[in-house]
Amino acid sequence: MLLARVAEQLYWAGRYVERAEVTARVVNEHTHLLVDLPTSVPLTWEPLLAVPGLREEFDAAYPAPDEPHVVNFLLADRDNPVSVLTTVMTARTNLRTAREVLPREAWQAINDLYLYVTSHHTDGVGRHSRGRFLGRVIGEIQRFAGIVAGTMCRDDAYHFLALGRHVERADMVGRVLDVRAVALLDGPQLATVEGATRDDGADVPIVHDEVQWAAVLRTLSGLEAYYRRGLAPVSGHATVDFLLCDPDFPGSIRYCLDEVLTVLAGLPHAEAGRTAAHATHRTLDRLVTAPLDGLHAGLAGLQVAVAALHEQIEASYFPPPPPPPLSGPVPPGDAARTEIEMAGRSE
Amino acid sequence: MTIADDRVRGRERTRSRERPAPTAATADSRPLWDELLDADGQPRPAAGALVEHIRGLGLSELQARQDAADLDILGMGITFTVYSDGRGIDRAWPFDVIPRVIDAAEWRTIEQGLTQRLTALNRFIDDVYNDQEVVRDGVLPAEVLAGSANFRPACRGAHPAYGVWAHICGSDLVRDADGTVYVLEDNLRVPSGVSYLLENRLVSKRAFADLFAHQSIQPVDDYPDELLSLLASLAPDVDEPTIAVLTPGLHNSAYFEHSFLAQRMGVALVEGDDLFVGPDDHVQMRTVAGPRRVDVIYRRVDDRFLDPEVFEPSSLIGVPGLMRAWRAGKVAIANAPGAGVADDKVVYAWVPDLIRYYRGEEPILPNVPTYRCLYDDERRHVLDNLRELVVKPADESGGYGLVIGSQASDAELAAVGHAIEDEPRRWVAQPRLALSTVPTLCDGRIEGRHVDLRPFVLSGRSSYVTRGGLTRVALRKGSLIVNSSQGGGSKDTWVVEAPAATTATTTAAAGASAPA
Repeated sequence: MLLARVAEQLYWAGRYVERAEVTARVVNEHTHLLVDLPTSVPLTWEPLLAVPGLREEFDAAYPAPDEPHVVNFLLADRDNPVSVLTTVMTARTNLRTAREVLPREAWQAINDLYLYVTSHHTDGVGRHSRGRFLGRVIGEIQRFAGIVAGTMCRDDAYHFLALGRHVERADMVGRVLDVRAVALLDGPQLATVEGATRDDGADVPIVHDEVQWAAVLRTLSGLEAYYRRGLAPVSGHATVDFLLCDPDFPGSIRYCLDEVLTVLAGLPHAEAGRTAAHATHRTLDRLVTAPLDGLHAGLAGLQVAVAALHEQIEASYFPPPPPPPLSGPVPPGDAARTEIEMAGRSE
Repeated sequence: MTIADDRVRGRERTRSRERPAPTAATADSRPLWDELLDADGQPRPAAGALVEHIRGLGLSELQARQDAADLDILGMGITFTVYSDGRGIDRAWPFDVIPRVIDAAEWRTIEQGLTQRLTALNRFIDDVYNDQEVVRDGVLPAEVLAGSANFRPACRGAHPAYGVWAHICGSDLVRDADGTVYVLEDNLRVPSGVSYLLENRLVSKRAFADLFAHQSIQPVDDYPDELLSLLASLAPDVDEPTIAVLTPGLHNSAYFEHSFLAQRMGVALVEGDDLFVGPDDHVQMRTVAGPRRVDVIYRRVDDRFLDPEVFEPSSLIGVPGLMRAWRAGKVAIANAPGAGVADDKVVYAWVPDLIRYYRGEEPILPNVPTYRCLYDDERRHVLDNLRELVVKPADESGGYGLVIGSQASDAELAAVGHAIEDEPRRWVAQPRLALSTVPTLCDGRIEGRHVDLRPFVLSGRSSYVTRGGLTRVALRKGSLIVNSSQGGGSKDTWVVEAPAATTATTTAAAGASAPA
């Protein structure tokens, strides 16, 4: 019997841990790309701001979307609610209030991650120390995930952590594909790297597609799985198909939705959640069969469906607490998330 | 002496017995008592192996183990919350690696003394909320009860299981310069610290693994099991009771402990908002599967905030209707609401009398001699000797409002003198004790620092006392303030069987004799 409040903390912790990992991987792979691509290919950092969808917030706080600023924003900015620093802090705060249902080692793993990130986040900004920083962040998150997978009973506490992770992963895969793949797919007339121009003012065409597609796969930890599926060499169409709907790769959107359905099958009052998950599945099916030039619109639709799934989970399991007896803050609609983020900042 | 003799004894006789000698020595001139070393610097018998081990390690290795312990604490997330700028920040738990050792023979006496004390306190609480025979028999003046801030009229007539109200007690013990162990106060409302006692042991086992392998140090980790079975025994008539720990929330300074105990017992950790009381007076918690009945609540929320319908109406962390459910017998609450009536510094002065009254025995553990300003002669003595005394308000805890005469300014003394005259019932005074010390690693040196000891006592169908307790240490030189929020730290506490030939005879002077 899991308290609704604790379930919500676990669900959000699952989401934040996953978000921290994908954000770390996005920055890590983009940095590798710099090394892999010839210097003649300009690589800007600006598109990464579209992954969290926080371009306006970035512009308000930073002078230019160059590497140090974008990386700082994504990794180390306390005011960015989805930076690696903030998401790790928030995940830890959430798990502190759910510590009684976690294995001790899982708590220690998240606490180690928190101690490391809060004391080393500036290491991620400089290029020379970035790989080490991000490698450690990803490794600690994997350690946490491994302890959870290996030692937690498959009870409601586990289910809500898993629910959060899979909903977030489905969302993040869509976001990464939208930002990275759509730019690569959008045909010769748009085959430019955003913001980059030659000295003569003409657009710079994107080259070395296969390197960039491989980077997309690596960002989502899918390159080796892609090879194992016999899909080599790396191509745009196959990559998109693989990440959207491979039934066996844990990083595909289809797999995440299947997992959501599996988890919901073990939870009470899951009918509305299952309906929303099936609807998301159908949106995914339409996206897979649609022509690739509609990918951007399709992914936008998918994000809406994932958001609807999230709202359904929230409505089914996390009812707002009763209003306080006298005065006090009355929770607005998205209060849970705001509160959790605020709590994360208050450390 | 039989119980009957004791119960008819009048107030005057009680007072003359308990009144401290007017010439009680002040602390400052006497040599301090060290818990590990005797006056010649030789290890006390039970501490022999430890002292020898530490000497063998040398300072730099000891420092290395201290550093490793600090890292363990950080990594294990053992924290407490301090308040700064209105925000709660969790800090690593301050721990000194050198343990405090207590001779097992002495501990057996302390354990008996605590059990005796808690039995009497529980009978007292049950009495004051029911027949008040203790007042009728002239043992406790009616005005003491009437003036108690922690007496809850809403609890009159309640009968919790086994007549026990204070299920969990943390009593603070101190040792004076002559070696006597005194009870300084009994924390009967929401005492905290037991999780740190258990965690300190984990950390200390790593630091001194070799000693644990070769010495019989009594284990402490059965406490949560004992607590769980105590809580389960309180449940109303249900087969598999649902138990929950009620916390004020993440920003409470003891949140770590609430979470620790809930996890260790495998029960839910609830906040006020997670609970509600239905029209059938059953307490329900909001789970993902809908409401689920709760049978036993281990509450870590003060009485005043438990139920806005009965106590503080503006409380946001309480559960409306909880008292109704408790009075209807639908839920057990530990500690019972109102148990704090015995946690009052004026009532404290009567505890030895209460032990005699309810148990017909002499107290095994002495109280610190206490002047009750309620009485003219004792008040006059206090007012004439403020400089030598420690003056305490009755209804505060955690050192709030306490005035140490020797450290106060003339103006402060004058102010507290007026306060005593205005409200004599609110004040007691005690001679200043010279708290014992334990060698402590400070700034790369080993020096004695003052300590107290908080054992935890569980009371229900039977009693249980932790083996040892939480040793709190004032890390600042000369300081007597052991609170972690004010520069205090902690130590692991080892109850050790001393080598047979040299068993120490340092048990509490006034209580060493067996009960009559």
